[in-house]
Amino acid sequence: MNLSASYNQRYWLRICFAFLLSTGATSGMAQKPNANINHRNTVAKKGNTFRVTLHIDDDTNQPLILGRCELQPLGVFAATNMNGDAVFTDVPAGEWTLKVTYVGMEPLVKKINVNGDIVQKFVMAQSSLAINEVIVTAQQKESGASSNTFIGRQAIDHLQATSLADVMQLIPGQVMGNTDLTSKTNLQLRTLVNNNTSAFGSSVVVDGIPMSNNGNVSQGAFSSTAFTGTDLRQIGADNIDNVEIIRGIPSAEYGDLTSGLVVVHSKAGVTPWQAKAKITPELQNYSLGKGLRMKDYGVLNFNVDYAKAWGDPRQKTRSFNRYNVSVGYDYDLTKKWHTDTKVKFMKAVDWTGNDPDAIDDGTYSRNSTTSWSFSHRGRISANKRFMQTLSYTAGLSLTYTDNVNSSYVSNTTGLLPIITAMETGYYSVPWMTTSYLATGITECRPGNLFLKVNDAFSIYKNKTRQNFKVGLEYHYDWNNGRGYYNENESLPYKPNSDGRPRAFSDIPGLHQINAYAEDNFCWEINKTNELKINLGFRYTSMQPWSEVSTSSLSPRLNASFSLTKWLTLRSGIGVNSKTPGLDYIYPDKKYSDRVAVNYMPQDDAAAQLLVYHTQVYDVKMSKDLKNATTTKIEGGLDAKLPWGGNVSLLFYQDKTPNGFGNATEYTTYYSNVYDESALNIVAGQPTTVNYDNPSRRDLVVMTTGKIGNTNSTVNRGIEMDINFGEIKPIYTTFFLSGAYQYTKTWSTDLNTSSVRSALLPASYSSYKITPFKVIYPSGLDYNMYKRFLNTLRIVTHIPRLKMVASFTTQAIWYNWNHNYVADKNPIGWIDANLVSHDITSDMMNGYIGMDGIYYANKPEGQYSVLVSDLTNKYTDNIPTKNPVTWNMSMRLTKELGKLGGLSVYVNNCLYYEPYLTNNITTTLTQRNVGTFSFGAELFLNL
Amino acid sequence: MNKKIFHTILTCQMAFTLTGCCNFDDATHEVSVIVQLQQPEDCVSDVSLEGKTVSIINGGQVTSVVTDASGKALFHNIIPDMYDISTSWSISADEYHSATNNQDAVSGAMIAGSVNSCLISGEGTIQLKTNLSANRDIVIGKVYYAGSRDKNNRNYLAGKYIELYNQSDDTIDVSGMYIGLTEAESTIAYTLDNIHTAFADSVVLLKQIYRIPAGSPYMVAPGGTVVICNSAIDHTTNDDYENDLTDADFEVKDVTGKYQNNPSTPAMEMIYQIYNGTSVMNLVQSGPMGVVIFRTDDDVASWQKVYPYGKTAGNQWVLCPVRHILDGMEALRNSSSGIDVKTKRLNDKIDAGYTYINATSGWNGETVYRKTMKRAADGHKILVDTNNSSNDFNVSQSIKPREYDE
Repeated sequence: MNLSASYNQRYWLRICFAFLLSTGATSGMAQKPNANINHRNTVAKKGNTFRVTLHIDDDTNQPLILGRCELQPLGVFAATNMNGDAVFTDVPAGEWTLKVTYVGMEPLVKKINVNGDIVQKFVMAQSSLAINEVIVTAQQKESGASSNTFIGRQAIDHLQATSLADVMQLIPGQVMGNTDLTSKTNLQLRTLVNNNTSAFGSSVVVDGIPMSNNGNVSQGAFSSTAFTGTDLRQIGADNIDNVEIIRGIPSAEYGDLTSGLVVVHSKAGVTPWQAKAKITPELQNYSLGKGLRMKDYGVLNFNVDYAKAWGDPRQKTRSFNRYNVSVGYDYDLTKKWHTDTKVKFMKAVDWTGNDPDAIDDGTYSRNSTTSWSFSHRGRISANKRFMQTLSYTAGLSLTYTDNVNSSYVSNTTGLLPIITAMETGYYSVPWMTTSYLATGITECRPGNLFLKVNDAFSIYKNKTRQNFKVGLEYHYDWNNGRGYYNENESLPYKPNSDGRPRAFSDIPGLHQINAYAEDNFCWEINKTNELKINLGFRYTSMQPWSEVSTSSLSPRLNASFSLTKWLTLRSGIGVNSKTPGLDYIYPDKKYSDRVAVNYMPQDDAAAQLLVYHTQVYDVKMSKDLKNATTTKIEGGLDAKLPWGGNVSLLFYQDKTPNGFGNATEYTTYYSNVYDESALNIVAGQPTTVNYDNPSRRDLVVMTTGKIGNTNSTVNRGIEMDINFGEIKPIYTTFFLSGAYQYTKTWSTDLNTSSVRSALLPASYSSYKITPFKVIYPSGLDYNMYKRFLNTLRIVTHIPRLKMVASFTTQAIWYNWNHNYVADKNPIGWIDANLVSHDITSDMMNGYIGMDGIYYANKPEGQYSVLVSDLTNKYTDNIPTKNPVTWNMSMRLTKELGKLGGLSVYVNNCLYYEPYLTNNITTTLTQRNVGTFSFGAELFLNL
Repeated sequence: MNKKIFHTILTCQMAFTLTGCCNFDDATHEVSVIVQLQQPEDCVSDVSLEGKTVSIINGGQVTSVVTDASGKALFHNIIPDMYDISTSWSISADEYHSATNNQDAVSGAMIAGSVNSCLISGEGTIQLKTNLSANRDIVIGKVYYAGSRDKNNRNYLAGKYIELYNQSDDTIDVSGMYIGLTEAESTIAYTLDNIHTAFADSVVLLKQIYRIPAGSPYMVAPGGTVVICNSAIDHTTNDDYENDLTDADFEVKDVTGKYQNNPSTPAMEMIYQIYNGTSVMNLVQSGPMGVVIFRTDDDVASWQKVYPYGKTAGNQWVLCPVRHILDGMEALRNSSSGIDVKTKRLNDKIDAGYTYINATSGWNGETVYRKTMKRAADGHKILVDTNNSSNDFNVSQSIKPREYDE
């Protein structure tokens, strides 16, 4: 592992060195025509750059405040001030494309010719279906060399999204369907299986603040299937202006992620009152928002959103309520200092319980999450040589999660010990003889502080442009929740080894420091050929100077080359890394409970006695844990079709060899059993135990609960996106997207198992103890998934009718998975002293005794296990291949003058839910289940 | 006009032609069937097959006919379908000696035959094989495997038990007798066909084996019972369908601290069990569930164990030779789609039929118990034992331990 890391570092250093050489060479080439001008003089010489002043008005001649202006392909940005003015300084001479975007307005795209200081005025038109350009699908972002998908407001409206989870359906390769608001939804990009590292390593950045999950802590043993990552349901869709999804290699500005990045921009700017109501049988969603000009004191945006959902309207056993309130204030402190301050409130309540029509027996679960977040961002136009724009971000988020579960603890066997011991020892424990109602509560209080400073500056030299970003970040995550506890500790909700209380506030906070630098290099070789290179480095250090410190260097390189006017090639390679959160670094203690005395005379209740031995192992921290890293490689092409369409084709591979998972590590302890001979029994008196006189003494092997980097994943595939362009006579555009995806996951954890009970005498098997642990080769078993699907979107937009309709058909041509379990010979065993021994091929006919010693011949006087009997063979290794399925949905949006509009949709509009078999069973299984739904949305602009 | 008449005639003609093509003779008709009893295989001389009752059962409806002198039972007006066919009758000790040339002391014997899920599709004769079995002293009298729901309507399975019954005229020592529970996987490990192929019907797969302690005699009087349970406590506090088992004869001692162990109740010896971390009897509440009792001097723990048929890994079951088995009974799962007789684990020599509880998933307090045939001279009950649980067992929610029908 160390060698590999060292190799990776050397590998990246070589790439960086090569790049710097190439940059130098490029600079050298560029300097040749004017060899006397060195780099410094070129930048300093104002004669080569000019000032571009823009004034942007809306169609009522009111200045647009906070309009986002970008000069492409320079990649420089500016925002309009309270007078609607935006200024670009140091713009090199040439023809550039100005792109201005504004909430509720059609994007303005104009060519401007800069050959001196210029002042230009533009008017933006209100977004409307009456305009020819309407985009209701996801778009491949043109400017980036990495694979970015951009989803604008019109697409979100047309989709009738309720939360960010809905929006993700527009990404190539995603399966169409309904998003159930009553189930948590995390972000899974480019993977065919829900992977905890992938979800935990997906970053959602809302208005510049990453939503951190590092402070979340769970109670009990680590679970690889527990929910991780950001719950996308918590982000309401109505206040989103646009979403950018970076499936490929993101900018070095973004980190602490492995699988992908979602950047959400909320609405900002002056808007009319906007009221929306979405209604389906499963949910209702209402929102009200407004962008208010505060005369000369900035712009105030606010949005209130409420959503309520039921899993199944016929049986209201699940519900979800969400309240979002967002207030944003933009203000120019000075002409050069723009600030943006936001306060957000979110409350989400999940409830599961008895149907209101059924008998309420007191069982329910309620998960309430309340979060407050405060953010302040500033952008100072310093206009210094190496500090053109200095921006800073400060964010603070506080989350209050209370998870209450109330249900009957079943007691099928008539004796349920109530074990509450927190230390190792023998304890006389109370017990229950019947089921009982119990309530368990988990109080989680994660908090996150985020500070960031970013410096951006550009260097232009002849035909090359370089936009640099350097920055520093600091994250602090903590959790001061009470943790897990029971409403009544004598009636625990989980009366087993996973049910001990745990105070999250005892867990130390996490400090994380990041530094990054990035160069966006562009070389306009000639009118046709252009080379863009994005080179970035990001350094992450978590818990520096502590026993669990981790660090990683994440270099990344994206490049694109315009081969012809219509064909651009692009490729990239980069490493993303995700720091482990509190849950991984500080796992819960492990508890093991074994009965020592079970004496229950039925005619002498006073003498009844139940004694348990509790063994506690506190792993304290996962010391060897490293950051999970994903190496992303991708390459592809973008082609423009002569009639206005375009084609995008991309190959990718994401490899995460060190995701988070259990790291098997054993400890042993002795546990005694006492029969009546060891008890002091006096009729009518409490029974006592002579602890020095056990009738049985077992050596028990238990795992420590350590977490490690034992989960490996490879995702690879091909994504395609084709816009066939508009067929004008029928106002219709055809979009075809698709993806072939491949996912393979396996564990590199130590592969051990207890000796099978069939090979052991009942004195071992019934007591659930093993004389030794058998070691098998690890990494041979895997889960593999393959899928190929296509999505055809037919969008008909009739401006005269102010109407857009879309029909989407998706076909899953190929859906294959294989849970492969390899035949395995044992390669070793771990004896009672935790010493590992190898098994060689010549030992397969020998024996291992209950004493954990190998014998070439069957030992006398003790039970033994034939080594060859420890071989594991599996015969049911047939991959599952599902038949072709398809699904169709339709959506319609119609504007009603300037007042507002109406949208309707039907998912699975042909109600195609067939019963189909697959290749390994003749059992008919229903497909497309739960994909049928319909709903309507009414929106008003007042 | 002519055209109209022509079209009308043509249409009528076509209708007549098509109607004429229909053959209504292929509709289902009632049929007559003869069931011919065969002489028992183990007899050296013929026994009388005249006057024996043969029953055919379909969907709970029983039709019975008495055989003629040649052992034929003629059933009239039978609707073609799948039927279970069975017969049984008892013979005296003298008849047994005469038929078998075996002079062992027995109280009598049963001759029985059955075939499950037999397709009757038309007229014909069905040959019904019969077996002869001497009346056994100790039989499996009752099994409570369904479990119940406690006062909070939660599942409760601690009160399960097996009851043995001595229907002989003598006091019997049951010490050293083995109780075996048959393999009960949802995907059957060895079908009867597999056992036939691999072991010529000579074995039964057992998942758990217990033994009544062999150290000292444990005598059971005629009509006496032996209750073997997982927890010898009063379970009626949890549910009214449950029983007070504080006077159980034996308790399987739990070693995991999840069942109350009653120190007053002697412990069963655990010989083998397939499960890791449990010691109690695993009587699957929904079925399938099979129990055999056997005696042997072999070292049972060293009997051969097998993986599922055709596999070389997974769980392993003990192969119990049929020749040691004294009695066996089998309850199958009563699923919503009916009972799948292909899930039977015991061959016809041990249990030619099956019983079942009414609930599909258990948890309703039902007990399967042996019917009462008659009373012996000393007044103790003789239970029905035809080697066919379909005939021998009843199901009840109210029957209590050590009780049988009058």
